[in-house]
Amino acid sequence: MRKTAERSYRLVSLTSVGVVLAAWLVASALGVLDPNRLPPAQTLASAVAELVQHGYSGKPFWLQIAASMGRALAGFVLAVLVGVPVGIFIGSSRMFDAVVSPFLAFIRPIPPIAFVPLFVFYFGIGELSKIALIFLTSFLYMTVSAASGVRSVPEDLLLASRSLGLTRRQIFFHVTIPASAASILTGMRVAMTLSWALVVAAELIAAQVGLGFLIMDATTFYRIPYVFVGIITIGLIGLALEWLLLLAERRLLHWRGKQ
Amino acid sequence: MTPRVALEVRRVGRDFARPDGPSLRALEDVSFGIADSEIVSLVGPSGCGKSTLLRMIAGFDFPDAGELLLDGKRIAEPGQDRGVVFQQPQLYPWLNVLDNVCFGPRMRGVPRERISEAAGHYIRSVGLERFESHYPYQLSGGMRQRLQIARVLINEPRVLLMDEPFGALDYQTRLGMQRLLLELAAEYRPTVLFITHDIDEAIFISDRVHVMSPRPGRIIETIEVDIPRPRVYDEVSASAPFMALKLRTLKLLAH
Repeated sequence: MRKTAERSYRLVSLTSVGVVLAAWLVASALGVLDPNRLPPAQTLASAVAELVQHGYSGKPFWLQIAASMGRALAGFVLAVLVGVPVGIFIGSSRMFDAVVSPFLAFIRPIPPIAFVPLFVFYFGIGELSKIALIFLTSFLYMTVSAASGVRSVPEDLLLASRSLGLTRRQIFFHVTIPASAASILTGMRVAMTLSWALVVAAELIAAQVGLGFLIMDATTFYRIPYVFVGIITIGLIGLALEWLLLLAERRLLHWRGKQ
Repeated sequence: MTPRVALEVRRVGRDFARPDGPSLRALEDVSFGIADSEIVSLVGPSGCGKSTLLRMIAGFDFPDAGELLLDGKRIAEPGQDRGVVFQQPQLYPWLNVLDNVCFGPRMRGVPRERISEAAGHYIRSVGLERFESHYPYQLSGGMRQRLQIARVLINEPRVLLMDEPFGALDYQTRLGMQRLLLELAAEYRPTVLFITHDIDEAIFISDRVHVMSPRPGRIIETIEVDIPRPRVYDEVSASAPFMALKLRTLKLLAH
């Protein structure tokens, strides 16, 4: 029963997307859409073809995508590498938690964009300032999810492990870490989405290449179809990344939430 | 020849501090011993400190008065010599049945061949041999408890500490688990401290039952269960000696 309901809701989602797409295609065919407001399908298709064939502002389209992904991934991977250990340390040491948490709690609600001018001043207009911005945002998120993962490990599971003869070190590596993995992986999924979304903001910092740059630059020169292609590309890649991490999560953590 | 005393509880007391007002006395002057291969139960109303006592024997908590001895040595911390069976099975959800059972010995560096041999043996003993590659979430409540018991037995603990292990199971499953426990006891002769508030269960499985008072928990009487083994529930539970012991326990708890 439950499964069929789930399946029919998925069908509703597909239909809903289908209807909107169909409406847009019909409107395109009727020629009622303004190419510089909401471009019709044919305009968008030719914009994609041009972008793929000639690139944008002297650089191929794939390079625009690769540049954005490189920045997002660099910031994200660094954030995971640093944020997870820091978060685990926060979760396991009440003292360390007390020392660093006020600062993290203060920075967390500040919109990342607010740091842009400062980061340009500190790190210049090159890659470093963009990666630093993505890193900071994802890092703040990763520490929270890693710390809450560690804190959520049931006390009795740790005690049971000691009764099985495990040392504290073994408990940390073989019980606490795997038990926190669920929270950490969910955190990674959100941080990945966050990093990708931040690329556009980061590329406002005087970028010469990247999807964010493409959108900004195309807007300046009133090439609205290009703006749409850029936005749609960002959306599709974001969806793909989210889906990829969700798949990894389901495979690695098939046991979660089924206790 | 009197059997060797495995576990000794000597005049143990435990107070819990309260943020407002005087501290709460959970246990007072509790003493008893468990000999090798004996099954001893503690029964009493909730809050009588029976679980507190078990946690102290496990090394999770410490007495304020008296002492706890295992083979004459003072208990200072948790250890594999005391296998704890929790009411809610504490399993590793990311490990399958076989790996859950092997986990303890593996961490302690027991040779691989010996682990897999012992694991197969204990998994068969608790009847999970067809479920070795299942994960805990794929098991029923009773099967999870069987798994937890196998994981503790493979450590060959000196004492088995069971904290209301069948309390969360439905009636049918509980009876099945009691039968399994007696079968395991006949096979491995473990020393068991069993906590329950189910009087039938306590009398059916135990050699001796300590009846405890409400807070502060004290042993008000000790009941020797001299019903011969092997015991079959349908026969024992309807027998006159069982009824007499049950009635006596009920009266003690009614006070």
